[in-house]
Order: sequence, then structure tokens, then C-alpha cells
Amino acid sequence: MPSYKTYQHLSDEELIMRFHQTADNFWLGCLFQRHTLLLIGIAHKYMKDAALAEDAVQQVFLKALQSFPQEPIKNVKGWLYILTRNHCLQQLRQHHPYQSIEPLEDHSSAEESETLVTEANLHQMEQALEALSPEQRQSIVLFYLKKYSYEQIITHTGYTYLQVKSYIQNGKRNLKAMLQHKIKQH
Amino acid sequence: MSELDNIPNQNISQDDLAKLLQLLETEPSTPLQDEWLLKYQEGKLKPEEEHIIEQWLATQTPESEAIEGLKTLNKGQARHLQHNLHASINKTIKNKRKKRSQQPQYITTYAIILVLLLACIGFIILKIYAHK
Repeated sequence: MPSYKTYQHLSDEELIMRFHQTADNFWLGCLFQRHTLLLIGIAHKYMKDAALAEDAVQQVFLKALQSFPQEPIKNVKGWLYILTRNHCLQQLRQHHPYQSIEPLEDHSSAEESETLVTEANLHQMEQALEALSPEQRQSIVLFYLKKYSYEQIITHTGYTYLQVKSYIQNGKRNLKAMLQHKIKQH
Repeated sequence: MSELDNIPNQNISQDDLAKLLQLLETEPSTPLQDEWLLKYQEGKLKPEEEHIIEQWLATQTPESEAIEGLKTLNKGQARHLQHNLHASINKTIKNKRKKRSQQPQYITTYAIILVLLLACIGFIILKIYAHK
């Protein structure tokens, strides 16, 4: 059986098309193997255990194999992400019914602010940056302008990995929100 | 305290502000490749290469969650899990293909037996009519 890497030149959509044309699961295997690492990461984020994450990805693959949708999938990576995340959350609910599970992040809100941010001017940007907490501003500047890696920021500031990640993510989100607000006010 | 601690905005040039504004709008341009992700997970990348991967961390995409999850695995464990899963997927596909390829053989065998049976019955009926 040829390796999935042989068909790396084919897009996700082309692999699905070949699967629909031939009904050969080999093409679904190629598709899944191409995204395995991504799914391992997602599963491990939720399951927090390597063996459970491996099992989750295996189960998701079997589910996809059994009931692969006939209708076209616009974003295969997104579809696999949702399948994996939902499977993990279902497993967590089954094994820890009384534990509250953190709400899912909303990935759709980014688009709205992006369209508005394009209208901001440099003065508004300067004001928004000034309004950030010192930690967020420092992490944003070191990461985006000085091109430091997280490890370099950790060494430089003494923050932990999670703090750096949170300062950059929240700082970026806050900047966008503030710019959006300023544009609406203007 | 270093010069970069509590960076005041007056240290940030207009060019840098414009660059930052631009970066807020755009997703990272470099797609994530497995080998890079694995090396990142194993701590084998240079800082500037790590920075490219980490640009995805600040996005709201599946990639961001995946990097976060991979980062908390032991070094080298991601490569091991990926290898196991690829082997398991190949095995599942092979078994399903085997089952599928065996299915038509049964159907052909049953069809031949049925045709022979019908031919025999027809032959017997003809013989009986011929005797009458």
C-alpha cells in the first residue's frame, strides 16, 4: 500500500473526491494521516493524557470511516477538528460527569473584528497599545516586533510558558477589541 | 530591569505601529508542516523557527489548540503517537480492503453454483418431458 506522502500533492478536496468516486477507504486513510499530528495535539489538549489522546484520534478515524458525509465538506481540517473536540468532550463528560468542562472557544468572532481593524489609524493603535497591561504590551512587542520566540520571552521576562501564551493571546484580542471600539466611536 | 521592561509607547516607532496593525489583521503565512511541528515539540528548532510556529498560537484556529496540546506531551512522544496511529490506520484500511476484495469472490461462487443448479433442474425437466 503506498504511503500517504505519495499523494501529498493532492488537496483534501481531491482526496475526498477520489474516495467518493472509488469508495476506496485508502483515500480517507491518506486524508486522516495527513492531519493526524494536528488531531493528536487537539485530543491531548482536552484529554491531558497521551494514551487517551491516541485512543480518541483512533476512535474519531473509525467514526469518520463508518459515516463519512456524502455532501461536500468546505473545510476538512475544521471538520476533523470539530469531530475530535466533540469526541473528547463526550469522553470527558462520560468519565467526569460532575466536573464542569470549560466552554468552547468561539472561533467565529475573529472575522468581525478583523474587518473593522483595517480601518484603524496609527494614533488609535498607539492609544490601544498604551491601554494594555504592561505584561501584555511587553509580550506583544517582544513577540511581534522583536520576533522573540516564547522561550526567549520566558528567559527575558521570567514569565511562565502559559503566562506568555496568555499575555500574547489576550493582548492581541484586547488590541482588536479596543480598535474596534475606537473605530465605532469615531 | 531591562530596557524592554514596561515598554512605553514612545519607544515604538510609527513603522512598528503600522507593522503591528498589519499583523493583527493577518493569519500566519507559513503553513504548519508535520516535521516542523515535531521538531518544535522535541525542542529542536532555532528561536526564529520556533517563532514561526508560535505565530499560530496567537490565532483562534485548530492549529493553535493543537500546538498547545503537543507542547504538553513529553519530548518525542508526538512522533511516537503519530507513528502508532499511522500504522493503525494502515492496518484498518488493509483489513477493510481485504474484506471488500473477498466479498465479490463469494458472490461469484454462489452465482456459478446457482446457474449450474438451474441447468441441472432444466436438464432433468427436459428429460422428463422427452420421456413422456
